[in-house]
Amino acid sequence: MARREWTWTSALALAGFTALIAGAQPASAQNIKVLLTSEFPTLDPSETGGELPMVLYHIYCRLYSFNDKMEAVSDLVASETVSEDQKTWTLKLRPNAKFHDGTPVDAEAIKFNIDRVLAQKGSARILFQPITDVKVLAPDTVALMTKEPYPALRNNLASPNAGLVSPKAVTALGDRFGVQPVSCGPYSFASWTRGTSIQTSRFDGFYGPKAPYAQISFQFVPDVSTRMFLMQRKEADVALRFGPQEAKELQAAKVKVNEINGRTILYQLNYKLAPTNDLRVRQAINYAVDKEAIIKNVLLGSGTPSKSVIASDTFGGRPSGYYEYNPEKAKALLKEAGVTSAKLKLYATQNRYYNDGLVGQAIAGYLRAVGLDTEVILMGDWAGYVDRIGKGDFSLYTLSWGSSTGDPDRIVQALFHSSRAGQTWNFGSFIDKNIDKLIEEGAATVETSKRLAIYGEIQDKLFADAPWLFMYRTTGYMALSDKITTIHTLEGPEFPYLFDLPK
Amino acid sequence: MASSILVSAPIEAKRPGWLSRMPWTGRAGFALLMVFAFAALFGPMLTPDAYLQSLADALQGPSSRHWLGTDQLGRDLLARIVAGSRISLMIGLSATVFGVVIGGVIGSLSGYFGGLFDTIMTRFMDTLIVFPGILIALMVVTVAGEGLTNVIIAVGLRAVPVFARLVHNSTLAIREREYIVAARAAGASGARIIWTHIRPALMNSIVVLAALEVAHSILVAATLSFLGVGISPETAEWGAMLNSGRTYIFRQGQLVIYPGLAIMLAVLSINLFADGLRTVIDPRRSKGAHIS
Repeated sequence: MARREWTWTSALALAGFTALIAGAQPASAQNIKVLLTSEFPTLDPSETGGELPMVLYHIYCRLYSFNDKMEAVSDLVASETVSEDQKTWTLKLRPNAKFHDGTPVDAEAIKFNIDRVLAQKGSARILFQPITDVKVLAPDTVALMTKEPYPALRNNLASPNAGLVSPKAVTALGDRFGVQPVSCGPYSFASWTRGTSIQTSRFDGFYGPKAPYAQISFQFVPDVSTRMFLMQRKEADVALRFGPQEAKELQAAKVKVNEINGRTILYQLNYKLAPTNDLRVRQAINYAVDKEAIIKNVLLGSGTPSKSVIASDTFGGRPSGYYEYNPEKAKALLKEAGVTSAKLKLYATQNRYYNDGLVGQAIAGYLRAVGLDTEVILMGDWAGYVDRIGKGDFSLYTLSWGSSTGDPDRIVQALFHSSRAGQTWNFGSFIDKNIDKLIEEGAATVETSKRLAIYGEIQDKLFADAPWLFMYRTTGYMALSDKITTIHTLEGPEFPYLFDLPK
Repeated sequence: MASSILVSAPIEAKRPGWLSRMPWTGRAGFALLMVFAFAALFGPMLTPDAYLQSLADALQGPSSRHWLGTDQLGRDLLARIVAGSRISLMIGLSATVFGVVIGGVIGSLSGYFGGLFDTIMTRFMDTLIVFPGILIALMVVTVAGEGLTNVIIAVGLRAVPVFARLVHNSTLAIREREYIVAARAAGASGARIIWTHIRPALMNSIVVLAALEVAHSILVAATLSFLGVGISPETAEWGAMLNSGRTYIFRQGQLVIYPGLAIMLAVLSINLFADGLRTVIDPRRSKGAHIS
């Protein structure tokens, strides 16, 4: 008897609670729920990884940002003058820009930001590295000096990682800034429930056009079926990273689906450990894996094989070649390298990229078929994964990149410059002085045709050295609800912007 | 509960007819269990390589080449189910043995000698037993890392307090019996008394409980690999297969149906057998066994 009463009471309580929740959150078109696939340790703009950029560019403002064509255009900058020798950039800022805490976005704040990033070790440092000095000329005018001419500066400053922080907040919060950031973007940070969601709300003091939604909630839903279910139930408004099958099912359920250019998926090979420190082994690994079969059967067609380290929609990107599936050649190369019994450790993410765990298993299967005993380690937790890779005890690990600046400089700097060896994202410790020189030359060349030639050479040389197991570029799908009226997706990164971009 | 089993006759497996004294459900369970045992022992020799991938043959339906079809990487589903029975039974048995040995030692020592050791151990076991088994296993695997051995220890650790408690309570009940007192008076050491006089009296209840624990361990291990911790996801393990087939549930149902069925049938067969075993050992208490 007692048990029955208890059941009734709890049922009533549950009903009341549900009503309370429903009442507290009116179904408003103004509140948008975005489903991301994984959480990140910090919202500090100098960090990178996963879908963090999408959250960053809603919260952080930048000196430049991208228009719909992925060209870097003025954002906070009202006007710019580049000196005759191309080494001094004088930027005049918008007069009315404010941080979320009310402090002005002035020349001093810009100097503070650039100095801050240059003093750090984070991934954003690479964006600001060409800048040798920052001078405050007037409260609204700042001059940036570079050692060499650096044409990609606009692109770099438009990267989500070049978001500006409020000096006042950084000084007050110190290390905690990354978990309660203050910037000057169209949405301001409201709260962060660890493991669940990040809340942002429209910043009424934003200098640009008014943001279209009152609130955006970014939720972490690693499981693809759950993301699909939430979209079908209309309990979310934007969901990223669906596969082709899910896209089909969502469309059948009358959910709007956009096809987008996804990221380039690759497996970085370790130059520090045997046997992958041998060029022949790296080439053998590339020949051993049937990329096309993986794309057809595991990705169900949603991808194209990579033929260069730079994807074709990034400045200078063009095919360098293709390691076709040839297990016999792979075996011959291994034999030539004297590799008879090698144990490889393959690390792959789980539920981060489409069917990533399965692709990892398929690759291991191909490697075993040519005699490389491969252990597969799948990790679902991104922060833990990066941490583990950082220890350097791997033969190959999966990674993806999307051009966040539209310019190849940042990509080749981060992935191949020897100054990044052993760090993100050159954990494979690729070191080549010639490539270093070419990277530096490409960065400092203003003339377009010359730049193209340099990046062409970089791609050809890298392709021949096989620093990666070249895999594919994915085709991604995102689902949208009817509530989404304003959305911009650029050619390079696959994350949408939920506000209007500068022209 | 356990102490009432004690007074029954010891199991006499050699006497003809112990199987026939089982209810038909127990015999059915035994028969099914033998099928799994056969698959575990000889299956991998009779089926294709469970790890041989062939992407061109991915996600096929049943055919004469692949009786149950193939998975996402074109691996033979039947071969993987069969290979999975070896892993599941091995984990189930090893984890239970681990639980019996460690739990038995702790339980008998604390039950026989009592004192501070008993108090501490009993409290410790009580603490362990309130945690759901899967939580303990998750914790151990997270701390100790991946690998089959760690999974066995993780799952076995969960069974330790179960056996420790049974042995402890029964030892408490037995240790004041006349024949124990007589042995003690004759100068037998504590260890000798536990091994030669108490242990045989507990074997029946341990065997029945152990049979149930094997089933439970298989479930916990499958849950672990379903959650993607412990065993390498490539391993042909039923829980891992369920996990990787999960996203295909509405398109390629066989990827989850067969491993799911295998888990269900294996656990069911062991439970039925354990239930039957209890009937043979203790006919008065044959009301059905439950996984607890």
